[in-house]
Amino acid sequence: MPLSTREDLAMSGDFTWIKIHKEVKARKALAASPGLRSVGFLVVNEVVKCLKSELVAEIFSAHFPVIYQSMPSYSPQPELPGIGGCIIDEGVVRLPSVKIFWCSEAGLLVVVGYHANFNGQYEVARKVLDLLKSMGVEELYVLAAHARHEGGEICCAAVASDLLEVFKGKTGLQPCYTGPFLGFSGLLFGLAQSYKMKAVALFSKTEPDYDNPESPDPRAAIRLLDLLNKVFGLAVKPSKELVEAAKAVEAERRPKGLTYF
Amino acid sequence: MPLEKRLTSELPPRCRVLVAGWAGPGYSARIAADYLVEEFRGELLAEIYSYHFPAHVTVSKEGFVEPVKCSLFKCKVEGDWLLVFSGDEEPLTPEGQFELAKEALEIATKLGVREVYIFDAVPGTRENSGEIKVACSDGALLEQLKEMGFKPLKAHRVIGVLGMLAGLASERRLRTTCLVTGTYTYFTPSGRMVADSRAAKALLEAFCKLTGLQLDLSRISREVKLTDSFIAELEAEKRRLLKVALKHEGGPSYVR
Repeated sequence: MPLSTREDLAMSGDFTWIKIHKEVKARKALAASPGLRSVGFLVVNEVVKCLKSELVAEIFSAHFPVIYQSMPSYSPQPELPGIGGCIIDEGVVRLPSVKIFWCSEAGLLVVVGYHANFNGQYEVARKVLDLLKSMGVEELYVLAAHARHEGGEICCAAVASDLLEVFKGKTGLQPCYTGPFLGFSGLLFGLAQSYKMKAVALFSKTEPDYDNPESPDPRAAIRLLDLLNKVFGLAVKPSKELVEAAKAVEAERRPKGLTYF
Repeated sequence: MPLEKRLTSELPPRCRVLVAGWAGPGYSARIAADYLVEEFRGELLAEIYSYHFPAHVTVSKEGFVEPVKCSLFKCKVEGDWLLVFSGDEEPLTPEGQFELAKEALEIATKLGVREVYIFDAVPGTRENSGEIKVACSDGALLEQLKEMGFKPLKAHRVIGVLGMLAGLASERRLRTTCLVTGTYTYFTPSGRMVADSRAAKALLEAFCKLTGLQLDLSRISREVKLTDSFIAELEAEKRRLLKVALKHEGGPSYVR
């Protein structure tokens, strides 16, 4: 099968290229990547699975390591570029990629991110935003987590004050997180402004795991999923695996032998 | 362009197959690739140098200096041409690994290559040395390989140039197969690695089964026997030394 024109163009040039599987248009997009406790990443994967989404585009890059040398992966360092390669999944070879799914039921695009190394993080974020813009995206919702003691269970941030006011009024959420927003999702959120996109970030409260910052927090993910269902009118039921993982985390937290917990 | 290419002989008219094997665990993938070049009397087609290679050169026994490079050989096999891509060291960045893999793939596809075989190895035990598992570009090909008796790799990462090559070849819809062997790395008491020729032989056998090529494996079979007897001798010597050491229960008199 011949390669598509857009893919040909990209392959002849730089290190990051786009592969379009299907042309679709959508106004809204959700995005996340395996960041702090992988909360946003869990949520987008749940949405993709539950709403029977279709893979419509992929972004490949020579800047995607399959083994990260920096820890966590969303905090890339120039002297630690990682190791490239391919991923084998159930006997099939594939290159790492950012995947864009189309949920026709909800009229949403869902971006499942992948962290580039230091050399490619801006290039990849820009390529994804270029593509989203060409797909007609005007509103971008970036899903992530925060680890602050103060503030609500879910808080928000936006690229513009008027947008933030509108979102606060609509959802009752408040901004509570101040500080850096690292990695793919952070750049996507920050750079969306220059693409004239209305970008909002939603942070679900979590507890940091200092040994493995990306270890999933299913409880924070379920909380964020509930909010998305309300805001976007979705009907995404958390999968059995996610609910069981959340129960297991809860059981582990409860001190054994103390009946009043 | 941080990549330099030097063509050393005439391009063959048409190639069907590209094989790649680099130095890695047990050195087995590289041995298997080299064996193909030696058996089929391959000729050096191109050398590729990358600015992303480690910044050093190697001085040979004869006193010559060699920069870090990777090589592409052409071998005439049963009226057809085979390309063999091999190297000793990896570029130090994913970008360098990508460029090298892309360059080799571009030469190969220009020559008409439709099938790509990647030799890879994963560290294991002495028992699973030579145990082959496969991964490939698509589900249909995987089913064919299963029917031929190959076990699929469930989850793995092929790293470096070969991983990039496998991924890019799959993306370009070339029939791509990764042959991954378990390998056992034995170190001599002085810390030198003994290459795993058993795993290399297993890779070659699997490759011949897949491509239908006739390859004389007698030379590598002798290597396997030699390696086995060498390791057995070293192990016997280790046991003997341990016995001697245990005899001196109190240890040396100057240790109080």
